[in-house]
Amino acid sequence: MATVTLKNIRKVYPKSHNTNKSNLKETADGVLAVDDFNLEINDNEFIVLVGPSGCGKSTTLRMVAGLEEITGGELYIDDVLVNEVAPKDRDISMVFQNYALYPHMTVRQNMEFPLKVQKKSRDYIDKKVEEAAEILGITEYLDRKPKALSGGQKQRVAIGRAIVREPKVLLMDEPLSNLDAKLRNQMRAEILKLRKRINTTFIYVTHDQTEAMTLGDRIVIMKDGVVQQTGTPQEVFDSPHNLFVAGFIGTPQMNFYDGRLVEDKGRYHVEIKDMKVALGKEKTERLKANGVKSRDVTVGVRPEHIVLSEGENVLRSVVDVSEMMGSVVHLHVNVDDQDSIIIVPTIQLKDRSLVKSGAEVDFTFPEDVIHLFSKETGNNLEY
Amino acid sequence: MGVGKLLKTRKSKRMAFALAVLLPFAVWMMVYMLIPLVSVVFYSFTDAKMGYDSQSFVGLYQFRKMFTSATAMISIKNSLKAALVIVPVSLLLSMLTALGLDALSERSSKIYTFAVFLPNIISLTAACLVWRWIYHGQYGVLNFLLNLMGIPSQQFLKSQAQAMYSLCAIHIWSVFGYYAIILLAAIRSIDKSLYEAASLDGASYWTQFFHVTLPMLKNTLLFVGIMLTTSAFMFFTPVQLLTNGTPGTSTYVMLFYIYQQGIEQGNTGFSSAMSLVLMLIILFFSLIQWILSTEREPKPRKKVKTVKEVNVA
Repeated sequence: MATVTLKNIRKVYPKSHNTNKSNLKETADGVLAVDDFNLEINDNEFIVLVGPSGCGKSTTLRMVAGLEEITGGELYIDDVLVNEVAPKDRDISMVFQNYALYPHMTVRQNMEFPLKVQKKSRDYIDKKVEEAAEILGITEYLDRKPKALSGGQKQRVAIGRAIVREPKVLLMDEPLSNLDAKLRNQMRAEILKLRKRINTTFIYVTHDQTEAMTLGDRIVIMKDGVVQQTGTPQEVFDSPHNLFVAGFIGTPQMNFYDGRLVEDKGRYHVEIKDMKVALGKEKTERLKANGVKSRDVTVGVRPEHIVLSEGENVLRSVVDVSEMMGSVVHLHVNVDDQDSIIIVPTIQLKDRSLVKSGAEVDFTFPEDVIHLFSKETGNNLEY
Repeated sequence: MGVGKLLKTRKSKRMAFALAVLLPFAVWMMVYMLIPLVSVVFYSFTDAKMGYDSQSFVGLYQFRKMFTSATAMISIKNSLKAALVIVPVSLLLSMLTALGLDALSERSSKIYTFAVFLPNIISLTAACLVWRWIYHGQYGVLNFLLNLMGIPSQQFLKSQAQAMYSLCAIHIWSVFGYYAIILLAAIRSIDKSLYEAASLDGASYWTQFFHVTLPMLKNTLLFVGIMLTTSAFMFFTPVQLLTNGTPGTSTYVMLFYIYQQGIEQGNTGFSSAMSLVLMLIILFFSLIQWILSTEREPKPRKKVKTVKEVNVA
């Protein structure tokens, strides 16, 4: 239960540090791993930091934990500046990707370790450990050593160790990455349940956008040490602020096309090859507000928003491959040598021949699902 | 199935490979370990003497002689004393050195690691000559330093009370660096996230040391302990070069006495019996350490049901 505030947080690794990640900005002092990170995390909020590897999300988390020094900026926990506070005094606990269980201790000893360090009474310790074990369903394994547990069980124990002392903030660094897909889904659901049962602020790091979307109250998307967008899962999905966020959130990835935005007497339409799509009222308002003129743009449309169509004003494509997913079919199509993915609900497929590779498919987009990005900066022109 | 066919199977091919690579070692074992071991056991029950062709079986005579010989008993006592000093002090010193080296930055740790390892690549014989001067009663460096601090000169190697400890110090100096490096490697191989987890759990440096480092080093410490015990009982070079067992019999250690009896005086039977006892003593102490450090399964507080994998919600 705490608020966490990150103000202009920076992390610079000295150049000698073996980071050859060329995409990171370099300064006179070294490599900029995290730059100008600003975020206010509310009490009891579940924040997910997400991004590709090397984007600085783990570094940020470790700075909150106190395991990495903060190069610049201010970190507050409950309005107290903690930049110089040792990890053990921050009242934070953390779950690691590799579990970091003490191999020589039993599950019970692992879980009671933080309480023992705090010199709590035996009764209190037993009560807390058994409570946590109950929540996590690991009561039966309390007297086993970690090596006798499966990956999912180990991660439960690690979570148990993290929650027994009721920390202000619970940090999780890719906790599900070492688990297989099925177990990951299951644990994801359990983390959601756990979240309802304990009152604490969560900061969760993952590279998996599904985890980010399903777990987070708010998501922070990072790339190359810089925050790209912060918002609720719905916000970042519906209104990605730039090409990176648009491509990162959502599977399969958003389709991008080269197009032209044309402004004509206060109205906008988009031209892609021979197709013209007029923009709706909301988009028009926003574009107008930003003073957007006619220009070349990158047009983004999510695969599930594409509609098959017939007639004149369409994009013509040829099916490369089609993947039957059950309820939907993923069509990988080719528009003048450019790949796109279209998701078609199976129920709408009247003509099965459509699915065959080589088939010709025409499609279009509804006006309100189009995202327009600047060709130069990659930023969304609406925001 | 013919032999040819048998050799063609994968398993027998692997077997043949194993035998081929192990053969040189097996021969070495035979010549330098097994045959001497058997001979030692054999000779300890005989009255064999160097230069005589025949020997006769004398039963436990050599052992009885040993346990009634004052010098032999003193040498056993001295060896135990040496081990009691050498093993704990070296272990502690190696451990502290390893922790220190681990705390250093990568670059400076390399330099210090080399410095710590240096005694191992210096010939002990040459080093002993230097130590003779360090310990010299009148001109020694050590006495010079003591005098600077206002402490009067000591006799070290010439003193009944100090000679044994002075020699132990040389032995410790010659071995601790090696074990420090072994321990350092073991410390460095401990998963760093364990320390991170512990520090977030609120553990101080020493709590982390006792609850993470030490338990994780258990196997290495056992190895180091056994090696140190063995080396402490094999303690010989400084004795032979610097004191020859003197003053009095204060630095008579077992190996020195065995050497005197067996090589210098040719009492093959007697020195074999003593060697056998030395071997048993080393075995005994190694066994104790092994038993002390073997993992005891934790006793469950409640009855544990056997549970299938998978999980519960």
